[in-house]
Amino acid sequence: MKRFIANLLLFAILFFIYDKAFIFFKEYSADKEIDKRLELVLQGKMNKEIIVLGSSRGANAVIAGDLQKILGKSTYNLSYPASDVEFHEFLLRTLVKFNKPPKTLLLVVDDPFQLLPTNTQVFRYERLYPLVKYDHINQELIDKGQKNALLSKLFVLHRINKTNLNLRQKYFTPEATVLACGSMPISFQKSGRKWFYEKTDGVYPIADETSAKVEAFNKIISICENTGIKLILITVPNFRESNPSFVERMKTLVNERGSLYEFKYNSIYLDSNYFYDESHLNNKGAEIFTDELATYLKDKI
Amino acid sequence: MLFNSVNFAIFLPIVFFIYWFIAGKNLKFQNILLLVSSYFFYACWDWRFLFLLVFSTLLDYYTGLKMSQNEDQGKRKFWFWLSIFINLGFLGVFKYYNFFAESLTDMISSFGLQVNPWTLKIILPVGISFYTFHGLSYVIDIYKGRIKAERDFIDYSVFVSFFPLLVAGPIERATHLLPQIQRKRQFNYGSAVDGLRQILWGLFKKIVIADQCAIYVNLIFNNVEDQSGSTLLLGALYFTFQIYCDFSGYSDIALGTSRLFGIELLRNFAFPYFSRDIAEFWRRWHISLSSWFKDYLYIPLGGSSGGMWMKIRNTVIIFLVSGFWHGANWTFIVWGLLNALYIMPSIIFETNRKNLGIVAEGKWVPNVRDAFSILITFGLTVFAWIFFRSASIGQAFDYVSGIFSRSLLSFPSQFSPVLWLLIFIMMLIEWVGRENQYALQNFGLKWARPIRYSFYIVLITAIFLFSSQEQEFIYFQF
Repeated sequence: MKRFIANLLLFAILFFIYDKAFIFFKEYSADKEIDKRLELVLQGKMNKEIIVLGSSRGANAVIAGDLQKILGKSTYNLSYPASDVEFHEFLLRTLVKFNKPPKTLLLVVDDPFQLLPTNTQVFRYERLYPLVKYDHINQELIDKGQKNALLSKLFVLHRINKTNLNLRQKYFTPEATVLACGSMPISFQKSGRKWFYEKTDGVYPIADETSAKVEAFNKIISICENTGIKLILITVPNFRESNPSFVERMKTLVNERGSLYEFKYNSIYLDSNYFYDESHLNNKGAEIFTDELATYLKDKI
Repeated sequence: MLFNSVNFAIFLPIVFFIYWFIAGKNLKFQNILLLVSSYFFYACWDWRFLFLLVFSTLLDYYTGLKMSQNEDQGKRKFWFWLSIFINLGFLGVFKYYNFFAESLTDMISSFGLQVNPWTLKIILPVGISFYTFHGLSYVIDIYKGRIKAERDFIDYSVFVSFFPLLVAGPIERATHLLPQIQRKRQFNYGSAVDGLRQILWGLFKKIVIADQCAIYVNLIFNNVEDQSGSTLLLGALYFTFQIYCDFSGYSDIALGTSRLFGIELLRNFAFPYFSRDIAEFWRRWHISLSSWFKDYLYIPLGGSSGGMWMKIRNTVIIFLVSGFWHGANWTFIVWGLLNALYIMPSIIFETNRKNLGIVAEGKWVPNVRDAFSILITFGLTVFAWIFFRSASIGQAFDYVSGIFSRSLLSFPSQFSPVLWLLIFIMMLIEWVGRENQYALQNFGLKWARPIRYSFYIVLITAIFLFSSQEQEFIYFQF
């Protein structure tokens, strides 16, 4: 028995020492990322007057640089493609913790998946993994059940993820290039699309909403209330008719605690030349949409 | 509490320490400790169902004693059927009630009558299929006069509730486990180290292979209609490795944990994906369940003693029941039937016991005939797993028809080179270690200690790097 315990302890000590060699990967992996937006937030370098949050629709359709020029207020787009409202809530929480809260938050809502279950919008854990050297990120992973508090204190190997071992420099792709203002407009159309303008059935299933998403959405509203941020929900055109029931649902949830910008239909939003695919504007469409949004915001902020 | 959780990593050393250092010289104290820790282990999942486990234990203990005490065959029969009825009754209510209620409603609706389904909101108590089968084998063995009833309630309770096997097996027999519980146990260095090695291999299979495969399996099976034929085929292959590494990984951890306490459990897996025919596959997959059905269902039904037709009938029954045991869904029943169909030629031509030995024993590679047989058997198994994994029969047929489409020749969209490299390495180690109880048992034992330790450290590194949210084992739902 003594031999067993002694060998076990020896092995544990060896492993503990070996584990510390991975500190290099923990510290260095963030440097190889090309999208630095979240790290800028963590470093307190995101002190802007207007912040845009959302998924790919927010990233593609709202050109923060154009808004800044028109409105004369510093603006940055923190929208992440394929991200869900829980991720947006995390971003906002992190933003106000490490930076001066923005004066205005433009939250781009996804019709109809803002609060509904979907596989296309998730909590973007892989954006967090390269940044595990930051305690705030590690704590978020612990809170989300991805990591264990005790193990991540004891072992670097538990704190990092397999993706941290990839130290190759990351590059932007044509579909996901982040501009200096944080926006990600796309200058071309997705190949192989059969453009078909779909009509809405006008049904929005409130009963199917995910409670965690509703909770995250309400938390965003609360953070804005508590920190004095003016919240404006933004709807973005799709190459299909928008659902009025969804818009009504958003209005009901935000109530008096914010406002909602509902884009106005025009011939452009019925023309596929202004879209990347059925759900996303391309840069031509984004410029026009941003212009319209700026006109609306002039009176509001 | 999951085997792949931090809680278990804390729980196990504490129980191990008390077991050998404090209770080490007193067998009774050791068994009480095993029982208390087993109940604690179970209560961590849902303490309410602990009462069900204790009731089931008390029932079988009491009816076992009553059968032993009575010479009168009528009274023995009464206690025997009482135990069978209540045990299967619990299983029926918790596991199958909603399935029968929904199926009945569907049947009535097909005649044009509208009825509300009388379903209940029931949580399936984890491990109920396993501990019920423990109890049933014990009661049947006493009734058949194979064993005597256990008088010590603590010993009997440990037999039913021993934490390494409580939630997903292996399904033990009283003749195998009870004598070990009653016997004084000595710490054995070799056995304990062997146990740790088996736990390590089980964790590697679960966390590095099964949980990673699960990501792609869920993506593909949840969006069947959006996937190309090649991606669907890839999804079926991912699930084939997921379910093997999940369940055999669990079994390795259970057997390894038990070895740390000086108790040997029944072997549950013997490298089934290297089987040369389906009969051999079923002698190597979930062995404790297959042998349970053979001993307590197939043989009592007449086995193969009544001629070819009885043999065919009994084989079909066994596979149907086995499918149904896995879950209350038609998909499992079709999966069972498919396997019955696969095995039928070897039953009819009496070649089902052709491949009893280890494939390519003593050689590095199999001959062409064996390699071809392994590939065919593996392919049949992959096909059957599609039904096992699908949410409904309709989805399974959509899945199969989706595979056999023109897009089968396109490049699959969910191909992960890293994961396939890991699967290849895992299967290579399994191939090298196929003559042992588990792959890592003698793997690298002849290497210099620094090299062997480095190998173990690489495995642990992979476990750490691939671990994220604790994922339940698939067989917990059964």
